Amino acid sequence: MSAIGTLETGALQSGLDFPATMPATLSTDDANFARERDRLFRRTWLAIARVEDVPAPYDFMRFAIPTVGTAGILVRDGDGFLRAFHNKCSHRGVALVCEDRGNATSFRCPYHAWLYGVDGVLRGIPDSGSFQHVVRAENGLKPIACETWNGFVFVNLAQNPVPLLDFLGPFGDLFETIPFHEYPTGVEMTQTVQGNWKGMIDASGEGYHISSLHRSTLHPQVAVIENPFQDFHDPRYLGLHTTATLGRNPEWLPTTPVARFVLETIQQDYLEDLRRMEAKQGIAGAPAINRINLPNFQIEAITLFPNSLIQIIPNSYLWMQYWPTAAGRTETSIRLYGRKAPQTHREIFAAAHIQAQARDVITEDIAMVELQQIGLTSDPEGQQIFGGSEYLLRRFNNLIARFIQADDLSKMLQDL
Amino acid sequence: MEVAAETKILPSGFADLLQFREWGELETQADRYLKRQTTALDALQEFYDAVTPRLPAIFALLDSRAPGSLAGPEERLFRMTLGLAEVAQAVETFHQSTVPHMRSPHRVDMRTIGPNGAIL
Repeated sequence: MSAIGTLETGALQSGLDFPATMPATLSTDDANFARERDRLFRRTWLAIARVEDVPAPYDFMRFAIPTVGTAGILVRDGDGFLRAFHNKCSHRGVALVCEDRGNATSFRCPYHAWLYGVDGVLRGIPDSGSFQHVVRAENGLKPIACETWNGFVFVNLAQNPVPLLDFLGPFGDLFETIPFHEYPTGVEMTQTVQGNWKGMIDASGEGYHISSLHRSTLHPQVAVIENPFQDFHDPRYLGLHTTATLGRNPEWLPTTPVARFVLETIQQDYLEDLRRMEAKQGIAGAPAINRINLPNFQIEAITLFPNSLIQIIPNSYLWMQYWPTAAGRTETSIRLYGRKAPQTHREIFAAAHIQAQARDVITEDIAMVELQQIGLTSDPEGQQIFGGSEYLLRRFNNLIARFIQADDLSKMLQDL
Repeated sequence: MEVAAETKILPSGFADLLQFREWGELETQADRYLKRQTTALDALQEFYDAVTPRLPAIFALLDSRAPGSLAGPEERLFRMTLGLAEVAQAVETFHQSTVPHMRSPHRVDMRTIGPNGAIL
């Protein structure tokens, strides 16, 4: 490892205290997936939306937690308060909201027209004389614990979850003022990955693979001689969560015609974003981002435990969600957010090119996670080996094991 | 008569791109990504070589229109050009149609989020 990767904190060193191997079965065995589903995903806070997804009173959207089969409704009431419910009529169990999103002051089940307020209260039962035995107050929409932090909407399927702020810990304090809300527009890409979800988190937890796997894509943009294996800078452990800083190659400029055309299209906006960053404005200018003032900052890579990654770059941020539905299957959502939507056809073309480029880099990672699944499945007695530069992977996979084992989550969080 | 028939497919002045009209029929970026994967690299190169030098002329025309207002030949030309956003990844970066080592066809669905999201 190069010296530049050992900057600042003891995070790297303490990461090496965790096991340097991981059994293959933790990625391939559906009994292990069942433990993760029941002991992790059913008991932890899960980021599922942004407040901008339901900006106005009475806006609603459906959401899913594919890992546990939850079909949910997220709705903003008339006072602006966000609530989450199971999308299930209390009468015969029908998923009563059928639109992906909309605006409504009540929800009516299409089967027998039972009516609910956006507060979940059961307001109407046609032919109510036939249902005199039903206590309305006990038969509203079933709520799901729902809280927001800096515009991210979290849900928790536990009956008495630990407070969200305890779960976020120092992460919540550090990133509380990052202005994600200034970047409300973008795209969401969804697909099914034929691999284990932890492999997707791990693929963003080390820079070691960049010079080989991403040699045609990301590598020329980030490679500098003094950091040949792209060690992360300033890794920080923030309770269950982590962050680290990556630089870019200041010499790099695209040389091919279409990439240059795209750069010329966005150049003024990009330079403005860089100016804002230098002036400590915008998403990348926040003090918690690039704490060490790395010149040529490129990415702040944040892991929001357990299944979200947030990558902050000078003019945008990415939010990736990985939802396992089996040991070898993961539903993914990757959102790319920007400050403003394209205004012209030329800008739309540039955005489509940038989105395709980002998708292809992530696809390179997905390809490896899928091939990894094939290899690990072939040799279930085998293991993965983590190197010294893969300390974030060691810690992440260790935290999952500890979370699954913990009966007292408050104590586990305090012990971190 | 032949010129008139051609102009119904693409705006006048772009008849040289008629052989790529299939790209103009694809409505989503997901479809364009799939077509890129299933088209041989030399065919992608032909498309790239024909459309890339026309970008200034294409946007000189299309940027005189408001986003969302395109129809008919102009909409087809724009969709074709959005195909170049995919084809350029194959030609300029990977020198192959697919992302290396990824199974194909690889489908990724896309939707816009937020106010005035890009029209894809």
